[in-house]
Amino acid sequence: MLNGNALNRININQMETDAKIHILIPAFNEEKKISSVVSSLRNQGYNKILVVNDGSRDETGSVARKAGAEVLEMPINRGQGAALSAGLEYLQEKQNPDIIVTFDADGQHQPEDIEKLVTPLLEDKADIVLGSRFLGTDSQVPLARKAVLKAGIVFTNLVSGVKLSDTHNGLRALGRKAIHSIRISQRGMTHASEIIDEIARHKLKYEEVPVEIIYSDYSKAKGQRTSGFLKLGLKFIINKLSK
Amino acid sequence: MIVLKIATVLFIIYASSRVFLKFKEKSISREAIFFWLLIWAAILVFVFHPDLSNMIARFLGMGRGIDSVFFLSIVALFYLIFRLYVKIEQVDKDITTLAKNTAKALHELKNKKNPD
Repeated sequence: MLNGNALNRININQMETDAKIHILIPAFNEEKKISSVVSSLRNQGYNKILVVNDGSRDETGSVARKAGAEVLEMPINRGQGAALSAGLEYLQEKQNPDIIVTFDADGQHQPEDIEKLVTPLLEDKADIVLGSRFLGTDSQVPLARKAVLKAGIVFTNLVSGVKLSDTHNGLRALGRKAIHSIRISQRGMTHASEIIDEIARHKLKYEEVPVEIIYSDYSKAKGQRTSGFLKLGLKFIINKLSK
Repeated sequence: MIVLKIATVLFIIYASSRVFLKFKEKSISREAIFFWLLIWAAILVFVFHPDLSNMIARFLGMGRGIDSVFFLSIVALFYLIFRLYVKIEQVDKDITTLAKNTAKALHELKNKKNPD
């Protein structure tokens, strides 16, 4: 349904748009997956792809460049929050984007879902749209991870007051207002909760749409260990208190 | 007891000299040298006037002088750890900002060299 051409007009839900849609992918040691992720996005018509290579020790940067992405190289590994923040700042300062879609580098997100995320922004129904793996009919989330994620959701909802069904999903679309107001200061994985805090702080209009997350053996091995989420919650509280 | 007193005094002299040295190297601030010397001076006072700790203990509503010394030490240690935590967080944030700015600056430089 989506076709890119030389002018980078994208057809979303039969709606032709000139909106400058940028895809932002933070990546750390993803040389095996990054090429297919970038290619699948390009095949869907998204040509403005920025990979932030977060100090990888492998060939992530050059592989992504070969696949056709622009690559911002972090000199040292600082975590996903820092990589996202660097990418957001760079795009905002240099490329004047209308929409920024954050996308994972490990292949668990589907380029077809971007359309669903972008539509509410184009229709001016939301400032930020978040992907949710729990809104869909049949989410294939492993049970242990589901339990921990649900606990994280209750916790984040209580702390921020923003009601969401999935708080740690890397697939999001930010419209202009969100791009210019959301600031990420937490460099690790706690940035996901921080974004929700920022939504509340700036009173952004938000929407959730169901997206498909494919848990391959690769992404499960690369992703966070389920036990790591407890540490994450603790770190988030400490950071909040010491602000 | 006298051996312990001598050892403590020697240690305090050593520690204070380190504080002065660090101040001379400008690796600690004027406030920090004041803080540390005050701590060592307080310990010195307690070594020679242990009865003072009993007075503080009575003031804090504790039974023994030594308990009040432990209590105050733990409070001081917690405070120090908190200060260290805040400092480390700040350094951590500074490093992140530095890394982000370096990434952006290098990228721009590269784009200027090979505009495409």
